[in-house]
Amino acid sequence: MASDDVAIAARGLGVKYDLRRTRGRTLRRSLAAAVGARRRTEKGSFWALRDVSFSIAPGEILGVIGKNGAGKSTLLEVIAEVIGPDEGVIQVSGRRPTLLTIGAGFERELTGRENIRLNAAYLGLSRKAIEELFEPIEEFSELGEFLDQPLKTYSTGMRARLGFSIAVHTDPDILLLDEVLSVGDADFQAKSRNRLSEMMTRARAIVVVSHSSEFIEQICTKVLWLEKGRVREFGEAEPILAEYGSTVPPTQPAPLAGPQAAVAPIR
Amino acid sequence: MNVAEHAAPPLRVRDANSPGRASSDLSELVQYRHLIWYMATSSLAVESRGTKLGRSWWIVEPILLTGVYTVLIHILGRGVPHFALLVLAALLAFQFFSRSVSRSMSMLQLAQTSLLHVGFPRSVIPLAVTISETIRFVVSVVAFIAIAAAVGIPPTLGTVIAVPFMITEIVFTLGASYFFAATGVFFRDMLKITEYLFFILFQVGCGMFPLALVSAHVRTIVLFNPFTTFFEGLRAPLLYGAAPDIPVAVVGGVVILSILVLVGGYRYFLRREGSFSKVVL
Repeated sequence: MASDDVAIAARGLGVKYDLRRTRGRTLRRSLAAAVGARRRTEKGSFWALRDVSFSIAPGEILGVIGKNGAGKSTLLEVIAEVIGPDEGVIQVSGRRPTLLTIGAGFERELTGRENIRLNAAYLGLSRKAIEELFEPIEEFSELGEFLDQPLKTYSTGMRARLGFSIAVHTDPDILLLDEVLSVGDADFQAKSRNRLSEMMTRARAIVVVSHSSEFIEQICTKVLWLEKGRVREFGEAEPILAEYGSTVPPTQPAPLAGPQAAVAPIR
Repeated sequence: MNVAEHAAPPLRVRDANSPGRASSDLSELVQYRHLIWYMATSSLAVESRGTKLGRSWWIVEPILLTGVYTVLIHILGRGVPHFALLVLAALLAFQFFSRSVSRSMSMLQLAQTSLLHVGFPRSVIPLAVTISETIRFVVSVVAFIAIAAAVGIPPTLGTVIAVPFMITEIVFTLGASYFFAATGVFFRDMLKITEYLFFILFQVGCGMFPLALVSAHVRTIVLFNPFTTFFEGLRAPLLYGAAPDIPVAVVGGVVILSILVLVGGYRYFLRREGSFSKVVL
C-alpha cells in the first residue's frame, strides 16, 4: 500500500500501561497475585494515550504540545514502533521512523567508534552507508582520538556529543524529535540546531515534542495538543498555540542546558 | 517551513487488533541484517576483550573440559572407550543451547534499559545471540575434531553427518530463544528456572552417558527428549563417523518439532514485542 497524501495517520490510538504487567513479574509477585495480596497494593492500569486521531501529509512538520504527563513522549514511541498500540491504528509512510533521544542505545564496553557503528546499525543502515558516515560524525562530534576509547571513559557531555552527532547524520523518512534541542554547551547547541534545520529539508515528515512554544511556532505547520492522553486540539499551528499559551505561563526558549543535564545516564 | 516532497513510499501499519505480523517483520530482518551481524560479532569481541587468550578460549575451553572429564572418568573407572569425548560432545551441544537461550533472555532484559527509546525490531536480539553462539559452537566442534584426531580418532567422510543434526539444533535453539526471551521480560524468574530446567534436560537426554548404555525399557522415554537426538547426532558422526542409532521416525519428529518451535516461538515473540518497553525494571 502506498499513499501520496499521508505521512503519519493515527485512528483511535490508545496505549495502556498495565501495572500488574509493567512492573516485571516475579515468582513472588505472581504468588502474591494468586492470593490477592497485590490487589490491595497496586492500581490496575492507566491509559497514557486514548482515542488519539490525527493525520499529517508529506512535507508537514507536526508540533506536539501539552503539559508533563500528557502523553507526548508516548505518542512518539508509538510512531517510532518502540511500543505497540493497545487500541487503534497507526500508519507511517516509509521506513521505520527515527526517534532522536540522546544517550539511548550506547554500550559502555564498546569504543566511541564501535558505538557509531552500532547506533547506525540500530537505524537499519547498511555497512557501506555506515562507513560513509564516519568522517562527518567524527568531524561533527569533535571527539578526535577519544573515539577509540571505551564509552565508559567518556564524560556525560562527550556522550551527548557522540549521540547527537550520530543521530543528526542519518537520513530518515520520518524524524521524531523529543526535546533534543537542549543538548550540550552553547556552541554545540547552535551547531546542532543548524544541522537539524538541514535535516528538516530532507525528511518526509517531522514530529517535534517541545516545551518551547516559540520553537514550535517557528517551524511547525500543524500542532497536536494533548491533554491527559487525549487530543484537545489538532490543526493549524497559530490559533492552537495562541489558545495553549493562554492556559499556561509564557514559555521562554529552553535555557542552555549543561551537558550534565543533557543525557540520561548510561547503565 | 516545509520539508521536501518525496515520492510516496509504502505505508507501515501497526494495528492493535493484529500485533506481530511475521511477514513484514521478516522483511525487516533482512533490512537489519547488518545490525544482526554487528550485534553477533561485537558481543563476541566484548566477551574476549581484556583476556590474555582472547578468542583462543573457544579452543582452549574444550581442551580443558576434555582434560577434566578424562581425569574424572579415570577416577570413576567407567569402562567405555573415549568416555570423556562422549560427554564433551554432548556438553558442546548443550552449552550452545543453554547459552543462546539465557543470553537472549538477559540481553532483551538489558535492552529494556539501554534501548528503551531506540526503534528497531527487537526480534534481531535473539537472532544475533543465536548467530554468535553458533559461531562459537562451530569453532568448538572443529576444536573437538582436532582433539579427537589427537587421541587417535581422525575425521572421516561420515563426520559430515553431524551437520544436519547441528542445523536442526540451531533451528530448535532459535525458536526456544524467541519464546523464553519474550517470556522472561514479563516473568523475571524465568532466567533462573530455565537454568534448572535445562540441566534436567541435559541429564535425562543422555548428556552424561551414551544412548547405547541406556536400558531398553527406559530408552523410549529418553528418545522423547529432543536433546538425546542432538547429543547423539553429534557424538556418533564425530567419534564413529556414522549416523546415530536413533529411529528415523524420532529424527524426523525432532526436525518437525524444531521447525514448530521456531515458528511458534517467533510468532509468540512478535505478539509481545510491542509491550517490552512498557515493562518498568
